[in-house]
Amino acid sequence: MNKATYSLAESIKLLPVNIRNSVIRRGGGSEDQERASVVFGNLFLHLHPVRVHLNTLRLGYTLGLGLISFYLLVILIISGILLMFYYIPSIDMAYNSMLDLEFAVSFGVVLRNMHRWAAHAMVAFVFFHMCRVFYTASYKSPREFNWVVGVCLLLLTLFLSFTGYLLPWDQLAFWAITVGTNIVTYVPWIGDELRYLMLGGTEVGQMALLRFYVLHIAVLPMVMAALVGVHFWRIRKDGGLSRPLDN
Amino acid sequence: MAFENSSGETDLSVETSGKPVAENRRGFVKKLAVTALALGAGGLTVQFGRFMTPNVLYEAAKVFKVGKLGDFPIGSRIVIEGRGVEIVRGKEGIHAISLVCTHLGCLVNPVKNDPEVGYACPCHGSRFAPTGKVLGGAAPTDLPWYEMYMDHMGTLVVDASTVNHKRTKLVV
Repeated sequence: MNKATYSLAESIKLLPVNIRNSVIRRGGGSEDQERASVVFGNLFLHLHPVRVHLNTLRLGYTLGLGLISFYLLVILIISGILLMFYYIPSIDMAYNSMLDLEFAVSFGVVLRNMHRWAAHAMVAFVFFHMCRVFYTASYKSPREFNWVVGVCLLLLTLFLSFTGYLLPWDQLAFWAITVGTNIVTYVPWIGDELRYLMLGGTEVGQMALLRFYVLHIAVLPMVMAALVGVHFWRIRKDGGLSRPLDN
Repeated sequence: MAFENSSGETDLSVETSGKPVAENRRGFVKKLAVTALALGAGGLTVQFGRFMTPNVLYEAAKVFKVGKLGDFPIGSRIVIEGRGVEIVRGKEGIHAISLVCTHLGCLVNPVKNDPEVGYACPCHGSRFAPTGKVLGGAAPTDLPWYEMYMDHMGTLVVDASTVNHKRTKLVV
């Protein structure tokens, strides 16, 4: 509305349109421009290019493995946040709260299994994605840096799996982390200090559970989110999805 | 006169007493700022490491009582639950051996029906002689013995913080 003066009735009548326009902020231009602005005018869609190469749309070149990994991450974040409402990271309560989720909480068993299987699947699909990138030589210039970001994301995925493994606080968890953190002691010179820092002590106990919990629910996911953003942004900056050249 | 500074820009030199100085003012301030930043970041990392390292541990004590001598008859091998230690009493004395595998920290199982093998690890298949010596598998070193003594009340005490390198048995 450019007109400075309009009646109260008019302004009420125009309210829905004005709200819609203020949110969507579009209009004018050719049909092509209109369609393009749908994409780049939206925070969530603007990661995607307005125009894509025909080969980008062919599923056979990428198999969608990267996006599958990303969607699994989304499932993990949502189910993980819901699990946090019932899980208590204390050595007296952790195992029982896990059992509660299995047997007492409505949909708890579904959420826990979604989280567990999505975590396993994410490790697999990140690995498959890496294989695809390798076999299509998509790590080559100008995409070397994004390959390195991807390797960091793979390591983060593995470390998230490792830290999540301790949380049920059952025998499997306890001995897996005992063995895993003992592997760390084989790091030259600082191995023992590194294990002490990881566990917050010399044995897998309350401090270790709390440290792994904080890493699992806060530190690593935040780093992950940041790196995923960089990873996606670099795909755009490095020339879009890897694809065969025009024939 | 003009010369290039570190960032490749051409600056007019600041002249004092007729001679050009080696460093212009901007270069000096830049170096100062980078040095201060590096020191700050380094200090922050060190202090963060200090913060993350606990000064007090609420873990089980390394020195603990295991019981009276009568609880360990000659020829017995008794595992102290939750401590990762086995008390072995033979004719010539008594000793405490660690049950924590030297490979990756699993608890080894005492083997009782084999004169050659004393302990077997369920995780990665390491085997140890009754004395703790590695027989095979992934373990890099022998199972250590811990210092053991009898306190003034006649109770046997194991000090798991001190390794008995000479593998001397407590004669009782």
